[in-house]
Amino acid sequence: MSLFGSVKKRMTNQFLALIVEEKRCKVKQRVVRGDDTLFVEESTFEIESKDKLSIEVIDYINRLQEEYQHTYITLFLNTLGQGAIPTCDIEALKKFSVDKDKVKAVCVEGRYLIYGTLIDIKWADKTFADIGLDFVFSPFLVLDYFIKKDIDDEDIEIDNIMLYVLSTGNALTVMIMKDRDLLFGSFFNIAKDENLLYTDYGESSDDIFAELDFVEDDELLIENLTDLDDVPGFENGEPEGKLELAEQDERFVKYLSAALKEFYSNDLYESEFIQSVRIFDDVHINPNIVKYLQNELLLDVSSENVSVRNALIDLSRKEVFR
Amino acid sequence: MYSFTTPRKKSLIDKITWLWLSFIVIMLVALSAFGFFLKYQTSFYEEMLSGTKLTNSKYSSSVSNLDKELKIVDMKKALNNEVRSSNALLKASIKNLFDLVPDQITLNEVVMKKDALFIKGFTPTKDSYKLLLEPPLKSIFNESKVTFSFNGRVGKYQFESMNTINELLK
Amino acid sequence: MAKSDSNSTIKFLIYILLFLIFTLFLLLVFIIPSIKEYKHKKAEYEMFRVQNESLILKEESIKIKLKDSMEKNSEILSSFKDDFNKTNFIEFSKSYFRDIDIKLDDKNENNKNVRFKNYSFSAILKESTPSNFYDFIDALKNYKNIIKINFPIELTINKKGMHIKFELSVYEPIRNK
Repeated sequence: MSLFGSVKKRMTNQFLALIVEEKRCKVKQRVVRGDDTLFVEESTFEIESKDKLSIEVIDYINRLQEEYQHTYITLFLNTLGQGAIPTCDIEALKKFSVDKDKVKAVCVEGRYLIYGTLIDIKWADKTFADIGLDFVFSPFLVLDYFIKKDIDDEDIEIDNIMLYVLSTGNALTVMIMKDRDLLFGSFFNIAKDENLLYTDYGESSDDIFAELDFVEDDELLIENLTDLDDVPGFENGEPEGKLELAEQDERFVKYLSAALKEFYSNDLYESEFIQSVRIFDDVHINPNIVKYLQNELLLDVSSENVSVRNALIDLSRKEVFR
Repeated sequence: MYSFTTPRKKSLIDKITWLWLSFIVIMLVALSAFGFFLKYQTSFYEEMLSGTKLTNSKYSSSVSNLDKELKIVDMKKALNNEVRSSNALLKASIKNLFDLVPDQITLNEVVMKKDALFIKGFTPTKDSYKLLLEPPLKSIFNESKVTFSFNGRVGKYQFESMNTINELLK
Repeated sequence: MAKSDSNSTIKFLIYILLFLIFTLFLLLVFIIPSIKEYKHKKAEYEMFRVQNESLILKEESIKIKLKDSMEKNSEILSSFKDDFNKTNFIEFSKSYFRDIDIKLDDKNENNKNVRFKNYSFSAILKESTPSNFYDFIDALKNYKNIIKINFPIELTINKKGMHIKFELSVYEPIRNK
């Protein structure tokens, strides 16, 4: 930490982490001085649309900014068009059909490149024009944060090839890691059905399931689902043997499967067999999904509750006190 | 930097602190400037002072020199006057003496000293001397001695008169 | 928040305190002594300046006085300047005497302090009358040197005439060697 950084650390700093979804805005406020947390508060606001923050939110955040001289506002970027490629070479973006002049790319510790569209970043600045914005983090960075934590945690077993998923309010972030290197990265907005344009998928979800090589037995699906509790939209003993999850949950599974398909079929990605799946869950997903996936993918699927906002704050702290 | 955007600039010092600090600094600077200005002025006066002191001593010595010269002139004048009056006095004394001598008595030798007078001359009679010359001599001088010797050739008495003023005895 | 209010009050107090301390410090240690010094120096200078002015006037007036004095007494002063010329004096004396003989008394030759040189003057009065001597004495006033007649004066009257002998003190200007 530089001298400047340590001086800054000694002062009172306020970190605000924001996640903006379709109809709501989630905020976390943490006031720190040195290593001590002086005050923490979480709040959620309803907003009309993603593109316009409500007056409530603006007033709230500006009020907080006035209280504390040094306030850092961090946004979780959950727009489409984001991704991660396994190499830090910017020229490689072309291979992955990404125009390097239209995105901002950040190299993470020399291991892989994450990018977001310039348009979206501009959008973020514009949306926050009345408030101000200090940091905009890619969901891949947040997922990487949790992955690192896992790796450092001795109690957690990690396989060599892992599929990591970050589940947030309206998005899904997927990273397939070989040890510490990225093999594949993908980001989906699961609030809508629209983003399938970005990947080469089949037309219907049924087909997708059918095409997954490693699912051999349809019957396995039905068996494992008999123990499940009440889940909205879920019906027991469906004659076709297909499980119905909530719309969003379905999309979760759909997109995840699509990602996997992309990974395995596209030659750009180094093919490896995934050994286990780990889900970092910010929104308390349906536990059925875990079981469902386990059945579908025949892999160990574990999930852990995390706080994305905490991660955002930690990441911005690191940036400020560098 | 892992963020897609760069953070806004934040000042370590808040506005009020800035204001106060700059106020204090300005005040310090102003006072210091004033102080240095004073010192500069003081040294300016110091310079002038030493210059003036120098000039003063020059004028002082000039004045004393001129004074000396003035005094010298006066001294010379005085000296000149003294010489003149001394000469005049001398002239008067001699004149007085010769006026004292009556016609009958002729002088051969006169030696005038500061406080003594020696006269040698001829007198027809002793009485002529004693009546005519001796009294005034005696009135001027303390001691007045005279000796006579008759000179047959001219038929007159030669007298030698020694007269002295002994100021010290008085 | 009450906390930040009291914080800012404390800050405010601290700043005022700092300000006062700095101001006082500067004033006491720097400004006030400087002002004193300045006043002091200025007064000192003023004093000498006044002195200077009076000295200038004084010098002026003395210069004038001296000039006046030298003008008024120029004749007398010039008589102090010329060297005594024996021949010249003998010529002068010839109006009153004949057979003039002037001898230098070299008694005081070694004493450099004495400005007057003594001579013995021996001559015969013209027309054997002391009035020439009186005239001679009177004429000395106008002679170009300062000459004083001293005792002893010897008058000897004989067939030749009235012989007179007396001492002279002549002022000799000191020449820088």
